[in-house]
Amino acid sequence: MGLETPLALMGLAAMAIPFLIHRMRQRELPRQPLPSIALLRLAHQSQRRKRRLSDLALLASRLSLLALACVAVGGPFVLRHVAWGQGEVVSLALVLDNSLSMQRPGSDGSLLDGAVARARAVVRSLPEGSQVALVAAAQPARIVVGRTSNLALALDALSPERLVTHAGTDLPRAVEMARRQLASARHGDRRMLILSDFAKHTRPERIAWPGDGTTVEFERLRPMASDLGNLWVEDARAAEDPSVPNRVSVAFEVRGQGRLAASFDALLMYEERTLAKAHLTLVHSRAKGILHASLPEMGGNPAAQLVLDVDDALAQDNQRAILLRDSQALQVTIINGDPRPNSPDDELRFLARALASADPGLLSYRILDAPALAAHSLAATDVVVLANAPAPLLETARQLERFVRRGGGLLVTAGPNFEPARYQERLPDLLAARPVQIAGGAQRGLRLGSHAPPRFRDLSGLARIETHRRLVLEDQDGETALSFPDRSPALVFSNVGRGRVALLATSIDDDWTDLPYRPGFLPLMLEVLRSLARLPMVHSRPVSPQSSVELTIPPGANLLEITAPDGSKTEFRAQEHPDDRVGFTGTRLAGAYRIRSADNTALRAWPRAAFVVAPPPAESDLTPGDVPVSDSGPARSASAGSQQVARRPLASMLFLLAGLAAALEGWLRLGHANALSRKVSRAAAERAL
Amino acid sequence: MPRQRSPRLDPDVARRVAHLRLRAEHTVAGILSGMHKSPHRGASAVFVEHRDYRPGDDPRRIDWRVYARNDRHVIKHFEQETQLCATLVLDRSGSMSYGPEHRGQSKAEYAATLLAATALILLKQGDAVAACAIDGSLRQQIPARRRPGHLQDLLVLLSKPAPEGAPTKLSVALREVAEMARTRGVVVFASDLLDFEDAALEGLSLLRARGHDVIVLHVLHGDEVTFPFGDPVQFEGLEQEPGLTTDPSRLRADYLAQMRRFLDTSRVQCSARGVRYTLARTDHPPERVLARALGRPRGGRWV
Repeated sequence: MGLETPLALMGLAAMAIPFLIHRMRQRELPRQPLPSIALLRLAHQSQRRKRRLSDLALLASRLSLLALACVAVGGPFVLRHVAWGQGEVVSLALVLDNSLSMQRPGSDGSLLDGAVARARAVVRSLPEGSQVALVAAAQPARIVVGRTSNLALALDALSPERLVTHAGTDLPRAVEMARRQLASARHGDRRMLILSDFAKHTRPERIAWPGDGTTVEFERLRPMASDLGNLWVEDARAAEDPSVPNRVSVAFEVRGQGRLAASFDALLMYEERTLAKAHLTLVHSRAKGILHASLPEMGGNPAAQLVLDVDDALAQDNQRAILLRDSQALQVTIINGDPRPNSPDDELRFLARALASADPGLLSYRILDAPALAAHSLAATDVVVLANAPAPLLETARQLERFVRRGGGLLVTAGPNFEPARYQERLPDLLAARPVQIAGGAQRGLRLGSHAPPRFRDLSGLARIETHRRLVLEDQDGETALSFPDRSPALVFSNVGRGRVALLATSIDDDWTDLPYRPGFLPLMLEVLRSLARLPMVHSRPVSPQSSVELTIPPGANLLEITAPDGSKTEFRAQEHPDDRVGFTGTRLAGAYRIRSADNTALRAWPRAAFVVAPPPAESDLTPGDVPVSDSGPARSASAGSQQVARRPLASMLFLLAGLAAALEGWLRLGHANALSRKVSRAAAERAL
Repeated sequence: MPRQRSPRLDPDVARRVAHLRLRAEHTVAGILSGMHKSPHRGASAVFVEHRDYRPGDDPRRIDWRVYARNDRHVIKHFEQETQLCATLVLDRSGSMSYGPEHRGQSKAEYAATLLAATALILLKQGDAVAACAIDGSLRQQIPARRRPGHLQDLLVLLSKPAPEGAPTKLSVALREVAEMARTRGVVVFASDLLDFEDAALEGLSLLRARGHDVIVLHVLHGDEVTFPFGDPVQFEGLEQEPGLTTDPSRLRADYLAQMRRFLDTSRVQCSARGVRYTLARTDHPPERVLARALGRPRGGRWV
C-alpha cells in the first residue's frame, strides 16, 4: 500500500488535539464544593461501568474518523496484479484470432483456448464502467459483441466452443471493425488488444492502424511445438472411373512447411474403413497422388475422408472430406401401370432396359406399382413417370399435385389403362394438355413442335416412328414439343407452380407405337426427364468455412436437416421457407455436411445435396510472422498470460468509512442524550422529596 | 449569690446569636400561627397517675372522688409535670458548612435555626434543654437548664460555625451524646447524616435504649438534593475527601438515584430504631419542617 501525498499523514497529529483540549479544560475548570461527594463518587463509578464501553466506542469512532480522513486525504492506494491495463476505466476492443491455425496445441489446450482464457482475464480486470467490444478475426471477420459496458455479456461470448472455426484469417478487416467500434467510445482512453499467433498468413502489413490515439497492443499465442512443421491437403477431387463401374479415383495434392518427415502415408477412409492407401514422399515440400478404390455401399453418406498419416503442427488440415458420387444424378420414380414381371408385355420392359444403360451419374430410377405410390415418399424424387397408369386415387392425386407445385416433374404416358375422363377428373391441373379420347389410325413420324427443346433436334429416328394408336389432345396453354404428322400434339410440356409436367400421347412400350425400338428412344426419354427435373442446388466444389451455403428443400419434403462434421444438426422447415430455399451459415468446421429430408413419413438421407467445407490452404502455412508495429505508438508485445501492477485507489472507501464513523458517533451521542433525557425527566418527577 | 453575668460576647458571635434568635422566634411564631389553640389551658390534660397529697400541693388538684371512695387525699399528676430534659445535638462537621455564599444559609445555620426554635419552644414549656455540638466526637456541650436566660447560652453554642474540614463520625459522637444525656428525655439531632460507615447510626439505637425519644432532622442543602450543576467542574469534598472532575450532566441521573437511595436508607434505619425522622431541606421554610418534625401539640405540649 502507498500514499499519493504522504504529508497528509501529519494530520494524524490532530488526533492529539482532543486530548490536549481535554487536559487544558481540566485545568481551567471551576471548583465546586459538594458535601455529598461520596454519593457523586458512587454515581460516577456506576456510570463509568455502564459507559466504559460506549465511551470507548465514542473515543474509537472519533479517533478513527480523524485517522480515516487523514489517510484518505493522503490518497492511499494498493498495488495489485491485474491481467491487463492499469486498472483504469477504458474502452477496449478485443480482436481475437479464431482461425484454423489457432487450433494448434498451446500450453493449455489449443492456442484458441489460450486466447479465450487471456481475453476473459483481460475483461475481468476491467473496472466497472469500462466498455468492451469483441471481434473475431476468422474469415469473414465479424463482431461477436458490439461495444458495451456489460462486461458479463462479453465474458459470456468468450467461449472456445462458440468461437472455434476452421476458417482462414482476416486480421485487417477485423482491426477495421474494431476501430469502428472504438470510434464513438465513451472513454478517452481507447485501447485495442489483438490476440493471435501472428503467422505469416495473417498479413499484418495490410492492416490500417487507427491513428486517432487508440493504443494498440499485441499478444502472441505461442504453440507448444513451435519448431514443428505442417502438412496439409492442398486439393483433392474424386471422379468415378469411366472404364470400371463402381470404381472411384481420388487425385490429391499435398503441401508442407517447416520441419517434417520426408515421407508419409495417405489413406482414403470411408466410415472407419480404409478404401485405399498410398505412400508419398515430399519433394520441395510438395507431393501428389492418386488413390483408386471401389465404391462402397454408401447409403446416406456420400463422403469419404482423405487422411494424411503424419505428425505435424496442425492436425485439423491433415484430412479432407471428398464426395464420392456426383450429386447431380436425376432421381426418377416410375409408376408401372401394367406390371407384368418377367414378361415381354411389361409396360416398362423397354424403358427400364433403356434407362439401365444410362450413366448412373446422370440418372437413378425406382419402379413402383400404381398402388405403392400412395405410400411412397417423393422427397428424394425429381420426376415421377405415370406409365400407362390408371388415374390415381384422390389422395395420390393430391400428393402428386403438391409434388409438382413445389418443383417436381411429372411425365404421363398413354396406354390402354389411361382413361382420359378419369385423368381429367383427378389431375385436371397436372395435364399439359386436355386428353379428349383415344384414337386409332396410323401416324408415321414425330415432328418437332414449336416448343421443342434444342436437344430434340439431335434425336435421330423420330421421322420414322410408327404410331397406330394415340391419345387425342387438345393443346390449350401447353408447349408442344413433338407433334404427329397431322399436327396433333404428341408431346406437350407445361409449367405448374414451380414444377413442370409433360404428357406423351402414346405409350412407352410397343403397345401403340414402335418408338421404344428406335435408337432415339433413350435420348428422348432422358431429355424429357431432364426437362422436367428442377435439379436442387448442389455444391460439387468445396465451400469455404463460415460461408453461407444455399440449399433447396426438395419437392415433397417439409423438413431439411443438415448434419455438420461435429454431429451438430440444423433443421429447416418448408413452411418457414415458402420459396424452398434456405441459407445455411453453420459452416464453421471443415468436413462433409450431410443432408436429410423428410415428408410426412420419415427422415431420409439426401446424399445428392451433401457438400464439403474445406479450409483455405493458405491458412495451413504456419510460417511465423512478425508481431506488427502500429502507427499509434510503441507496440507492446507481451506473452499471453502476463500480468501488470496497477494502483487501486482507496480514498473513496476510506471516506466512506469515515462517514460511517461519524454516523456512529452521532448515534452514540444521540443514544446518550435520549437516555439522559429520560432519566432527567424521571428525576424531575421525583424532585418533590 | 450574686447573679452570674454572661461573659461579654464577641461582636461576631453576638451578631450570629441575634440572627439565630430572630430566626428561631420567627419559626416558632410560624408554627403557632398555623395551629388551633388548644382547648386546654394551663395544666396538661394528659393524666398520668395519682400520688398522695403533700403539704404545699395545690388543693384544687385533690381528686375528691378518690377521697370519697377511699377516704384518702390524693392529687392528680399530669404529664406536664414530668421533668422533661431535652438535648439538642447539632452536627457541626465540615459537610454542614456547605451553603453557597450568596444563596440561602448553610446547612449548619439552618440546623441551628431549627434547634434554636426547638429550644425556644421547650424553654417556654418549662423543659430543661441541653445542647451539644458534634463532628467526629462530642465537641461542645451545655448542661440542661430550665431558666429563660439559658437560651442565650444555647444560641451561642448553636451559632458557632463549624470548623473547616472537620470529619463526621456519628458512631463515636452519638455514643458520647448518649453518655452525656443521662436523664431520659428528648434528643433532637440535626445532621446531614453523611457518614457511610455501617455503625454510623448505632448511637441512635443507644439513645433509644436509654429511653430517649429521638427526633432526627435530616438536614440537606437543596443543591445536594437536586444537583443543579450543568457544566463540567472539579467537585471537592468538605471533609478532605478526594475531589472528582466530571461532567455533572452525565452523572445527574445516577447521582439522584444514589441520593434517593441514601434518603430511603436513612429513613428506614431511623424508623427501624424507633426514631422520628424528618427531611429538612435548607430551601424549605424551617417552620414547616419543624411543625412536621414535632407534630401537633398534645395537652399543650409540643414534645
